[in-house]
Formats: sequence, structure tokens, C-alpha cells
Amino acid sequence: MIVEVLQNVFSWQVLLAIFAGVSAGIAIGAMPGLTSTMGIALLMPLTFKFEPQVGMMLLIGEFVGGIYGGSITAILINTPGTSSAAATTLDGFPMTKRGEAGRALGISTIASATGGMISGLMLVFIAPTLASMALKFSAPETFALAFFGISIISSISANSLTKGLISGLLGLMVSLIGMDNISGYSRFTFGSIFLMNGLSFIPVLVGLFAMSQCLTSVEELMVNNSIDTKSLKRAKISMKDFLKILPTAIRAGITGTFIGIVPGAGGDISAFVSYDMEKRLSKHPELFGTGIPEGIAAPEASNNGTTGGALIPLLTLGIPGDSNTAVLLGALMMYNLTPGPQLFVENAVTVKTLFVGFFIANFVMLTLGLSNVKNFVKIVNIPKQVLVPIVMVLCVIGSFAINTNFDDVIVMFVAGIVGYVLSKGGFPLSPIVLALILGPMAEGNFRRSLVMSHGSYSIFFTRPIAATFIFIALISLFWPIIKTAVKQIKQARMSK
Amino acid sequence: MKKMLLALLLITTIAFSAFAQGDAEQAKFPTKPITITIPVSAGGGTDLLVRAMSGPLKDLLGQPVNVVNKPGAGAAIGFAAGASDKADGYSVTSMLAELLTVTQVADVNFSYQSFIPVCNVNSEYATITVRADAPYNTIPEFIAYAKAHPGEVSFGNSGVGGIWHFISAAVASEMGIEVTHVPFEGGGTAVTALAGGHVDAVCVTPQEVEVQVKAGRAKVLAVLAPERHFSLPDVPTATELGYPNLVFTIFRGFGVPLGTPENVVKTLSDAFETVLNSPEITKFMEEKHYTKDFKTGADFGAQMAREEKIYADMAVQLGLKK
Repeated sequence: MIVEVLQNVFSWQVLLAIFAGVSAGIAIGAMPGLTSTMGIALLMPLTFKFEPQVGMMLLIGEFVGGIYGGSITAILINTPGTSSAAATTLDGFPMTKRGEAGRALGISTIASATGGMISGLMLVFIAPTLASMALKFSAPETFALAFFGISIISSISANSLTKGLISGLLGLMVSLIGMDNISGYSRFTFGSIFLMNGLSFIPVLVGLFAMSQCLTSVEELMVNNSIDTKSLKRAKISMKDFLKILPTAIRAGITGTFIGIVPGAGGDISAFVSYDMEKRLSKHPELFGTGIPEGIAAPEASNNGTTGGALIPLLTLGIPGDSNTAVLLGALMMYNLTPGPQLFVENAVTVKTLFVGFFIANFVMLTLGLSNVKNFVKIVNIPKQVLVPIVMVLCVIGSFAINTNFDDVIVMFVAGIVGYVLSKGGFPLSPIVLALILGPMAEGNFRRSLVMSHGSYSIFFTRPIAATFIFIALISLFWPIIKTAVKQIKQARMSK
Repeated sequence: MKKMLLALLLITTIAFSAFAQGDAEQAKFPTKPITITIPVSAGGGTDLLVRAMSGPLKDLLGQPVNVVNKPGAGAAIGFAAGASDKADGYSVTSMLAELLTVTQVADVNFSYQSFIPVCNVNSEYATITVRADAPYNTIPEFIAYAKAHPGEVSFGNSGVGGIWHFISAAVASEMGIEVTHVPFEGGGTAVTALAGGHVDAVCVTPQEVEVQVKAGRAKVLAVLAPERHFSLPDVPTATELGYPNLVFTIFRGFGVPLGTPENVVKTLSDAFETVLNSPEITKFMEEKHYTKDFKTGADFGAQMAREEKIYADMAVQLGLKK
């Protein structure tokens, strides 16, 4: 069987599929608005003529590359290519501003590959044990996770907690727009069918980050009236960096895998959770946000950790862990590879081929990423006058392509202007993104839980996973208050 | 670098100039590319089928066939866009069962009557699927259990006012049982909740529960179809069990905006029929478990009219009517 698997994996078709998938994924992921989910969905019909392992590896390669690709533009031009990379801008862009773009890219590449490989190991060795976790997650647990996620806003609010909370609240309010899934009531739609769907997440993300960054660049050009000639240091990732980020990457990779397993939670949430976790564990939390290696490694290792994690319930239970694997489930069914325990028996060779291929995909990503750092960095050297219009065009194309709807382009422009004004006022943008992702998840699952429990709130406290997350969230929310209280008591005792 | 920029610029210019094409004459059809709007996202069952058909359709008609996804708001965005397209036959909309339900709950400016039905190509049917470890194995046992435990049996659906909500509500009302409807973000998430034991039943297609049934986490008690399903030969239909009203078609067909010339509709219908019966698509549908079901525009329209009435009554009963 091992021989068969290796023959499969090292056939030129599979290797080419992996290479093509990862490359396409990186390119699609790096472009603002084009997501890895969309890439997989569009590539899928093309793959049906291939052998199952070839087609599946193309799609899985795309998945792996797409999650990583988003970090490139997040680091270089403060424009996350995918929502998974939104947390990477927090420390990635500050490092680029210091002229260390090469170092930042190196860190993100190595962290991504580490996270991916860790999730791969967990996929191969403990998938069935972990898979049952996905089944335990229902509405109350998902609500608790989202509630915990929202509490992270306090730790990604940069300088001002008040401004961070205002941003978060704004995000939650925007997420209320649209037809409510539980009662069927249209909220804030003003009779518009387009608004019934709520604001699409991608155009808002692209507007908030990419378009507002373009506006800021335009302003800089007008004020300085000179070409930006920021010289790049020849910064590369050093052995010291590598050793420094390794524990972070391993922790984040494991966290990412677990969040990947949870149905409905993907790389965007896990990136923020890991960032928050590393900040809390760090001896110098105040340095997060200023461009430190751990701040890049944590979200990047974590979001690539979700790739393997999301494949675990997909292959063992037929339950997709995120939007990417939801499309992959369709592809598996098309190949008559029905997921479940039988898959590992009946199609053992194919499954093992996918496992080995998953590692190769991560290796290809690592090689492609590291060898192209020099080329990627050149993006920063492009004069703003040239770069800004290109990014603006990409913003328009990306927001249009997601639903082929021009209204989304308008949403993107409005979000861009709002984002520009907010960042001028010192309001952080990441809490808006986090609230937009988690708001609907928290609300929908909160109300769904109450439907399931016939209105009893005990459902949140009698189920162990839900209760644990709510407990952690409460502690993390009130931690600053508890900390100061403890300090005061200590000081009072000292003075006595 | 300069060369690359120039290339980018060129590509953008070409892309935009495509929008600027003028109207072509209509005597001969088709003389320019046809666009099929799909109101659901890429990668789903509808998307795959339409994309598979678009290739042979292009060869047959001699014009490119573009497939565009306009998902969102329970497919309302795509239907609204399709209904307001130009009535010249070059804009075709994929008509789905959601067309009959989303209009009941949402304040929209279209209905199934905003389209001329071209033809139906595929029909799926719902099932009543329950957890494998449930204490009932047949519909009568299920009803007895539900009657003994009023309001305790929970049905997962794909969102309030979604097709599966209507169908599970119809099931409960026909069987005279009181159940709790739990709305999820989609049919897939509802099935996940069933597999995890968080809801007791779902009414979705055999394809959607196939994985969980095979894995021994779910069992199908009945299919809501005119005849037994090929993949579940031992499962009775609701009609056999004495519920002839419980037949709902999860149809996939095509429509064009009102006012499209008759000869154009005929050309399209013939083209779809030919493609549907081609060996390539027949094989595709068999392999991927799609049930082929060609209906002419007239038959398709009559079926929609019958089922729309049931959904409209249901919406009033459920208090969803806007």
C-alpha cells in the first residue's frame, strides 16, 4: 500500500496538480477580494475530468496556498488578500513600514508552513479522535465560541480600548443589516432586495482595508508631493527569528487545527484567537502591534492550521469545518468519495495519497514563498502613483466578482471612505472585521440555542464546552479590572 | 515591470469594452453570447449541473454560454436580477424551488409569474430523515412518538421561510403533530446538527443525507416523492403511507423574462432538451446522482402553480406571510 500511495503522489499529474493548485491559491489569495473559497469553487468544474487524487490535490493545494497568499499583501500594503489575513496586518504592516518587508514575509511563510504541517500531523494521526469534537459543536457551543471571540476585541484595540470598542460596536451594528434567519424579518433594508442579504463581507473587508489604504496613500502623495522612496533594508528572516517564532507557530498551529475542526469557524477567527493568545502569554504584550515576529507568526500559523483541521471532520464525518471545505465536500461527492469511516477503508489509498499530498502542498508553499520573497517585496518599491490605481482596480474587480453584483462595488467604496475616516480618527479597523464575522454567528446561534431549549438559558451552562468558553470569555473580558483590583489590594497591604 | 503594467492595463480595457457592445438584431437566434444567471453560489448542486450543461449548449447553439452566480437573500437577489433582464432570450435564469418560497416571506418585486418557464431539467425530492438512534423506525411510530411528546421533536431547516422550513411545516401539519422548527444557515448545517444529535429530524434530499445515512448516524423514514427513490428502494413514499399531499418538487429548470419572443423560447427549450439527452450529460447526471426530469415549459408552469398555492397556504398558517 505504501508503494501504491507513493506511486500515486509522485506521479507527474499529482505533483503538477499540487504545484498548480498552490501557485493559483497564492495568487488568488493575495488579490484583495478573491478568496480561496471562490478559487476552489471555480476550479472545481475543471477538475472532474481528472483522476480523483489529481483533482482533489489541485483543490487542496489551492486551499493551502490561498490561505497563505492573503498574508503577502497584508504585510506589504496593509491590504489583507483574504479575511484570514486580516489579523496579519496588525504586526505585518508595521514591520514593512520599518523597511523589513523581507523579514516579515519570511516569518509569515515559515509560520504558515509550520501551522499547516502541524495540522497535517494531527489530521493523519488523531483525526478520528478529534472528529467527534465537531459533532459535539452545535448552536450553544458555537455561540460560546463567538462570544469568546468578540471578547478579543479588547486585545486588538491597539492604543485606545474605547475606540476599539466603538469600532467593534459599529461592526456589530452593520452585521444586523439584512433578513434575519430566525424570524424571517427584514432589518434595515429599506425595501432593497440587495440589502436583504446583509452587506457582503468581502466588499466591506476590501473597502475597509484596501480602499481606505489607497485613500491614505493618495493623501500622502498630495501632502508630500514627492515619490515615496522608502529604502528597503535587505532584511531577511534570521535563525534567531526562526527560533523565536517556533513556539508561537506550534501553539498557533494547534489552536488553528482545533478551530478548523469546529463547523462554521475558519481561518479568520482562529488568526485573531491565536494573536490574542500569544499577546496574553507574552512577556511584553505592549510590543504587539508594533511589528514583532510573534505578531505575524501567530495569525499565519493559526490560519494555515485550520486547513488540516477543517479536513478532519470533512473526511471522517462528511461535515465541512469552514466555507472552503464545504465546497470540497461537493467535490468529494462528485468523485463518489463518500466521506466517513468507510472512506478510510474502501478508498484507503486515495485518502493516504491526499494526506501525503497535503504535506507536499505545504512544502511547495514554503519553497514558493521563500524563493519569491525578493519578488514579492518589489511590490513595496512600486511608486504609489502606479500602485494605488492598480490596487483600486483590483478592489473593484474583487468586490464585483464575489457575487457578480455591482451593488457590492458601491458597498466597497462606502466602506473605503468610512475606513479612511475612522483610521484618521485613530479607530482600529480590525475590531470591525472581527465583529462582522462574529456578530451574526453569535446572534444566530444564541437565538437558535433558545429555540432548541424552548427558551431556557440553562442550555449555555449545562453543556460543558459552551460553559467553558463562556467562562474563559468572561475572565478575559474582566481581566483588566481583576488585575488592577489585585494590584490595589497588594499595594494596600504593602503600605500597611 | 513596465511591460507587466501595460499588459494589466490592456486586459482591463478589454474587459470593460466587453460591456460596451451594442444590441444585435434578433431575427436569427442566437447571434451573441447567452448568459445564464444562477441565484445560488458556485460549487453547489445547481451550479455544477448548469456549468456541466453550458459546454454542450455552447457547441449546439454555436455561441458562448456564460454562467454567472448571483447568490444571496435566499436566492432572491438572483431571481430579481433575472426577472429584470432584457427579454430577448440572451438572459436565461435558472429557476429553482426557492422561487416559490422566498416570494412568500420576503418583500420582493417578482414571483414565478415574472418568468416564462422554458423547461425543467432535474427534480429532487425531500425525505423525512431522523437520527439513527431514535426510538422510532417507521412513520406511524414517529407520529405516535411525536403525539406523546408534543413540541419536543425538533426539525432542523435551512432558515425561516426556506424551502425545508415549508416542507417540514407541511409534514407536521399533514400528520397532525406539534414540532419545534430550528432554523440553520443552510440544509448542510441542519444535517450536521442531526448527525450530532442536536435536532431530531430534517427534511432534505436523499443526496444531502447520503453521507450520514451511510455512516449509520441517520435513517430515512419516508420520501416525499411521487415514487420511491432509486437510492432508497426500501423507503416508502408519503403517498404510500396515506399522505398524498406530501409531494414537493425541488426542481431545477430555466426561465426567461416575460416578453421574450415565442420562437426564442422554443429554440432554447429544444436546445436544453437535446443537451439533457446527450450521452455526455446523461452520464454526468447518472454518476452524480441527479434525477433527470424534462418537463416542457407548459408542464413546468402548471407544476409551479400547484405547488405555489400549497406554499402560500403554508405561509399563512406559519404566520410568515408579509
